[in-house]
Amino acid sequence: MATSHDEEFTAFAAASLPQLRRTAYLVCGDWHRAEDVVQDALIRLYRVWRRVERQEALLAYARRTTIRLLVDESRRPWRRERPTAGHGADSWVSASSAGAVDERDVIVRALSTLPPRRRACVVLRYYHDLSVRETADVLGCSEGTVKSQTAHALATLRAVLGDLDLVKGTSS
Amino acid sequence: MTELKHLLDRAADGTDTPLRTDPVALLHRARSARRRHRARVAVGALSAVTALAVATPLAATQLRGGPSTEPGALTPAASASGDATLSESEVVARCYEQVQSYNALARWGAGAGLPPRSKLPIETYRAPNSRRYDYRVGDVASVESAEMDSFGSFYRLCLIPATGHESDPVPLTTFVPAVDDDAMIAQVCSETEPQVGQVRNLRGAEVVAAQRGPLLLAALLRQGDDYYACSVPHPDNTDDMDHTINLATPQSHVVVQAGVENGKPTGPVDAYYYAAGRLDEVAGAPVAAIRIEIRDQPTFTVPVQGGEFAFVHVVPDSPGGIHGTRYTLLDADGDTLGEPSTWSDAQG
Repeated sequence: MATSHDEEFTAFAAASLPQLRRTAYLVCGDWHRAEDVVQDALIRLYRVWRRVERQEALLAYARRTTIRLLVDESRRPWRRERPTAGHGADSWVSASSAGAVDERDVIVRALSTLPPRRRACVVLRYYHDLSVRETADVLGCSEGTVKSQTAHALATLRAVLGDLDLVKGTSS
Repeated sequence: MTELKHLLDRAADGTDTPLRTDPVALLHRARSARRRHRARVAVGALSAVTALAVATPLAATQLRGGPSTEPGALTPAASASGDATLSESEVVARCYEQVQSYNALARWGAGAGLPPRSKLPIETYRAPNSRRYDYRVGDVASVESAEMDSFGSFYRLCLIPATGHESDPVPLTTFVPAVDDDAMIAQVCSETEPQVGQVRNLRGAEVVAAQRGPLLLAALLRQGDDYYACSVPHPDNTDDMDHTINLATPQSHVVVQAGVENGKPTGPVDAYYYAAGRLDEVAGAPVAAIRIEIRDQPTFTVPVQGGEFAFVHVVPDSPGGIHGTRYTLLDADGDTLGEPSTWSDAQG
């Protein structure tokens, strides 16, 4: 990669890091891990910079890579560990939750009860407002899978969060 | 804006956690990673040959309280603790040579056709848990370098040697303890990597359930009123010490760890399915067993004693991982008590 591309990369990294980290945080629930994953995604982006630059938006590629890294990491050999049911999410939520639980913690704790792919569906559909098709592209799965995973996720969130009208006004 | 969108926006407000990434430093890492990627592609064919060479047949799993099929790995002479508490620099000095010998075994090192991992200066190493624990000779300590070479980070366990024995070989299997080696299990499970997950001093904790496969130990430890599930993979399989612990919260169904371990890319591709945790009563009846179904595999049952369990299940020759799993809670008569939400598919 030529020097000009290096400069473009550093500028892009500086500009996109905050947004990508927010996305990653919602999926993994840990700010530091989120930043680590975003770094990995950007490093991968660098490797294919020219091709991606020609074919699609760099930010979309970086976001897709970030999400896939997080979902795949949960299945990675030696790393996979998750509370799986009920209310056993304490160990997953970041240490910041030791203090008072505020509104931000509520949704992060609720998300932590979801498997990673469902978490990603919720974040992509309702935080990034992506369509079902766009979400399927990011996750590399069918639109039907996105619909079913999202429906299951919302059902779980409703059970955890109570009677909040979570998605009023949206369409699938 | 939907209620969910509002909640997500609020949750993603990271102003309290400033970014720590330097884009220029990230560029250097990206350039280094690209070079490494190209090198790996170049040696891919050689790795495939190596896989055949190092493949080993599976041994049976070893269940706590059952017949032992594998010897304990800890060198007895090295397990006797000395009296003096060691400072962090003393721990690093004693462990340095041992750690270097492990680095030489790394997956992407000489065994895969690449140059050996670089020998980082001792000054770059630290013992991250030394402020938590009073280490003595014979203890297990975690040691890591603040730097990374082109193959990644260095986080290692070390059996702190006595003076004059710094270069004595300590097999990596030392850190995947036998199921009845409570002290060693507790020590290893106390040395999880701070950057990866929680660290808890479990020394002295009671090991209430454990099972060990050729490349993995799963254990449940009780410390006071708290339970911790701990998984310990063979370090040589990961190039790292990726053992983890999780608090087993009593109000959950508490299968706190479940996963698949596939062996390193140059090794046999066997899938591991493992879990450890607690199970409360269901509908007033104690859970006596968990029946586990894995798609296209024979169903198997895991005993639950006093609500506690740990198991390691090996599915040989499963390069694609394990797909489609379901578990059912059974009472002492084998009747179904409940079918909690499934563990999601686990792929290696």
